Amino acid sequence: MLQRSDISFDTDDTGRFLPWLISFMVFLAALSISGLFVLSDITQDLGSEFSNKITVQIPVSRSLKTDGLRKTETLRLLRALTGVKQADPLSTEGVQELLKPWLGDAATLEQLPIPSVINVEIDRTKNISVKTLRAVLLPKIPDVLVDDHREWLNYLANTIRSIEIIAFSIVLLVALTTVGTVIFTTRTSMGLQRETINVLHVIGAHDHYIANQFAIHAAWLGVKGGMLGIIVSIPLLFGFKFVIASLGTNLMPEISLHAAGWVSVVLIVPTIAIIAMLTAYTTVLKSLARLP
Amino acid sequence: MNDIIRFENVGLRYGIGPEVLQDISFDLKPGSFHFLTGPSGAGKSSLLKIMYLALRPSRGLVYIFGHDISTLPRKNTLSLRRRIGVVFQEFRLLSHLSAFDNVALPLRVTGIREANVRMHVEELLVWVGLKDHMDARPPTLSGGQQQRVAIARAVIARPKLLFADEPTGNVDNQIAARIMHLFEELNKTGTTVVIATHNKAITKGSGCPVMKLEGGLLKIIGPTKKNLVSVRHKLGDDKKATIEF
Repeated sequence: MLQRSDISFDTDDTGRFLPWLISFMVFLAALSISGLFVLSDITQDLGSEFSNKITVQIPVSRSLKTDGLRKTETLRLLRALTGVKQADPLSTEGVQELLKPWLGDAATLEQLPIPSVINVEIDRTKNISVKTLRAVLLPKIPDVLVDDHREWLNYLANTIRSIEIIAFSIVLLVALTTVGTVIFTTRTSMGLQRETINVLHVIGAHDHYIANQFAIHAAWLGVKGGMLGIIVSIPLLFGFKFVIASLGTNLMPEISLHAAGWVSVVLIVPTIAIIAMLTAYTTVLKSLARLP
Repeated sequence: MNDIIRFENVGLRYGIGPEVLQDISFDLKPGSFHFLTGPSGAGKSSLLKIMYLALRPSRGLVYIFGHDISTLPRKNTLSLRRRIGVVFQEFRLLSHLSAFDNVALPLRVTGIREANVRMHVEELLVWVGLKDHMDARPPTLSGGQQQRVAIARAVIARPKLLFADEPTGNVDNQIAARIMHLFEELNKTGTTVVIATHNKAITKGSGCPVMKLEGGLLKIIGPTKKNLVSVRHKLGDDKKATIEF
């Protein structure tokens, strides 16, 4: 124990049950908080990377020469537009690499009709949009395709936001469950320690003196359970990262938890200990208020 | 009001059961020494509990150190409790703590510095003859030794009012005499003492007033010249309590 206690918690079975439950709660909270940070990073990365990018696709025609001319003409038109910061054609190898997650090694086959792709970076403050590009390109190259990344990015962001809300709800639920469990175990413990509490009360112990002892005990159990939960969750988080990386595909974004994420995960332990401590403290004070 | 304790028409019932204490009225003067007797189930422990603020009466007025406990806010009862020492019938020592720590409890709960706690507790444990058992835990002590630890715990904070419930119930006559001597010494320093006991030998020989509870009614036998107690017990029809010597 952290401090000499007048109450014998060693003989109190509630102390054996609470750390296990807290460890499970901390485990869930660690996964949820990590998920929140990873998703937030993904949204931020994708947003900064693609929000000003537009892809122009020129479908293959019957002749390679025509394809070349259409690509050159498209590039010329794009570069002449105000608000287009950059317009670069993607190499055939680059396009094949993009298609690889869907087509596998077949994407490298030269017989495949792979369209020409031009990455365009625009400055949206200059009043330029997909509509402007289409208006300029379609009269000259009728079957050109212009994709705005922002459309699917918004859809993805909404999906991620929903997942974030679910993860946040799990964290909240974990906190509430911890509070409920600590209230229940504290009341049970007070029942078991009734004799000692009565003696302390009669000899003139202040309610805060008794509540402090339960609070310190609950905090200690919170730390024990929290450490166990963290010890189990950290290898699992590394495992996730390893599994995602080992898939070796561009379909999944890079999953990595940055310093703020790790700090938040580790901070779950003191947070849960403080929640347990304050809950036990107020529960004991409320119960003692019923004594004469 | 000079009385340490004053009861006026106090009644107590548990739940919807019959009254275990009926129309109890008496007062205790500072520095007095009283015995509380009566058959088992007469309500001695209940009366003691009201006096040491572990129980509130169902009706009537109770003044402790001049405070009406029915109107006293709960937080203010703390300072009264700290002026009261209690020796429980079953000792109620905390079995996971040493004899030293048990005796130190009333000082520690008031936040006294540990150095002072050590000095006072050691001195008292020597006085009650437990010098060599300071670190022993209650389960390893004999009944008499536990009794003395319980008494030391009750008196360590120099209470103004001391209650002892059957303090000689588990010890032989020699130790009983020593314990009674200890209470007398404490009484000489000004502490008001109330001892609940079945031991007639002790009550008869002492010459102190005896509060006799029977069927929920209180009868006070005394007072002597040494210990004056104002008897204002009402037996339903407002009669004075019977006084015997």
